[in-house]
Amino acid sequence: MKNDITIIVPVNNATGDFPELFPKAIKSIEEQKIKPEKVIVVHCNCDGITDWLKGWEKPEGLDVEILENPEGEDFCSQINYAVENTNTKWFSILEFDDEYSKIWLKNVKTYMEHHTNVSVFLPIVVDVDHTNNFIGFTNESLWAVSFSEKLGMLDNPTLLRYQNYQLSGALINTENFLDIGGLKSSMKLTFSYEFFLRATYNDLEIMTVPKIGYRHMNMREWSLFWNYKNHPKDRLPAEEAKFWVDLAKKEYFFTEDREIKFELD
Amino acid sequence: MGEEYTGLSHKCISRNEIQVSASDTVFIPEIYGSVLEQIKTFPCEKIIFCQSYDYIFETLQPGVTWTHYGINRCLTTCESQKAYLESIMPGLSVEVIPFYFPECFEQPKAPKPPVIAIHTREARDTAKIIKTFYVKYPQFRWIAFKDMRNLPRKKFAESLQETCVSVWVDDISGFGTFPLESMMVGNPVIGKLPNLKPDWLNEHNGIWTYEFNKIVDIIGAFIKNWLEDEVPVELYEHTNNTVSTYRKLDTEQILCDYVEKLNKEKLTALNQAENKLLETEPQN
Repeated sequence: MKNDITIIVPVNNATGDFPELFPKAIKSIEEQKIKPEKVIVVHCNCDGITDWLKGWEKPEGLDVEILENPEGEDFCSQINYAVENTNTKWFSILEFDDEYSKIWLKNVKTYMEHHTNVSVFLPIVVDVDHTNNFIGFTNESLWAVSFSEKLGMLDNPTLLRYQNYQLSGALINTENFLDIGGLKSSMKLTFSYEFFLRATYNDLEIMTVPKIGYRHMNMREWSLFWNYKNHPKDRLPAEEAKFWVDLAKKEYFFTEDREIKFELD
Repeated sequence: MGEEYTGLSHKCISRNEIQVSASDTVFIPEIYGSVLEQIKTFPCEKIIFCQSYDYIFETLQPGVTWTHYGINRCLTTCESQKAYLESIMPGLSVEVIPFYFPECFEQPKAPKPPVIAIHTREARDTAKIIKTFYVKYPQFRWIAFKDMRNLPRKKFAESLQETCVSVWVDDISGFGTFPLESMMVGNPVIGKLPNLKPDWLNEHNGIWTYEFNKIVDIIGAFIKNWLEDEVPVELYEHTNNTVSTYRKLDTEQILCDYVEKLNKEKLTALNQAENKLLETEPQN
């Protein structure tokens, strides 16, 4: 049984443990009890990824499209490009070092039937380290009593005091995503936070499905956020990290991705 | 008990507002044993309605039973309580009238939220379970508990529907209404086995333990499984089978049949007494 869902897997290089992790991510789609209509592997034709994907054997049970993004190398550009090329009602982002739980799409479908106004269904994310040890949950806090205005739902005031929500793994309404402007490349490390703020500001309903839906490898070596924390060249000073959080709180009123310049005194 | 009971008419015994005759029947809940002394001279049929065996002796003097007050009929809710009552009051005629569950206890269509319903006899047990759970399983601190005590019935049913599992601790329970109500709304039950095992309870239709301190670990394991859709389907099937028996019962009809039978018996006894009286009257 196929469903009105596209899974987008953004990849930007075939180095390090990519050849080991990418097939695991794809396998987690194959193992879903209900299958997505399409899987889009979107890449930016850099660091050997095109050659690697040419040699990769696509799984038989999935309709996989490999899409080259000419618009930019960053994560947000790749997602936006893939979403523009999607013709399903829903899409979901799967990072190549992460995995869905087997029950995710089946559960989210059940919640979709009963929560018809919701535009983004977040999974409960299990965060693990590079050795697969449990670190904690993400997105679960919405089910804590009195945490948000309505149990299970994410709202703007909650986001203004608590930033840690994970977009990957979520089922997102394609039309709503494009209507509010997609992800903003200019937001650097707070692109998903700014997206959530903008979505709630635009009255999109966001809920956490109270089921384990996604396994996220936290701070994998050489990942985007690992680089921001540890890479000698890309590491962000604390004041810059604060700048991006504060900026997200100012930029979410705008649908357009505006040009941002950051300079340290 | 809810506002639907406020319309019931009340009469005061101590002000002699009640006038009863031999054809009347008075039902007395077991907890109100103290009124037996006040109504012992009433010329009517008196029937004890015993829902909780643990309260029987609460208001009775040592060595005294209901039969001392001329009561020899009792209604109760299950066979295990009936057996217990017959063992302590051999002369008592005990009949089972099954518990009535209103239609508000039905399984909701929407998927359930990660909220735990808890009902314990003692309030401190509820606090102890919740606090221990949050300390022992800090990763589940976002899972909410709902204390189900002291809620009006309809509100109680609505609240119960908005939970995914029920926790039950009641050592002196005579029947186990809460676990059955939980099963009716589709909740598996984690419970401490009471001193008197109810008829409906078996090893398959709940997660039962003798040890209070293990309840927290069972909740932890259950929540982990629930979040991963790993709770065995058989558990839900068994709970559903258990309550389907109660759903089919027409308690009102059973009670009416009982009263009709009672009236017939009373009428027969009255006729027999009358005939005996006529037989003994001197013939002119």
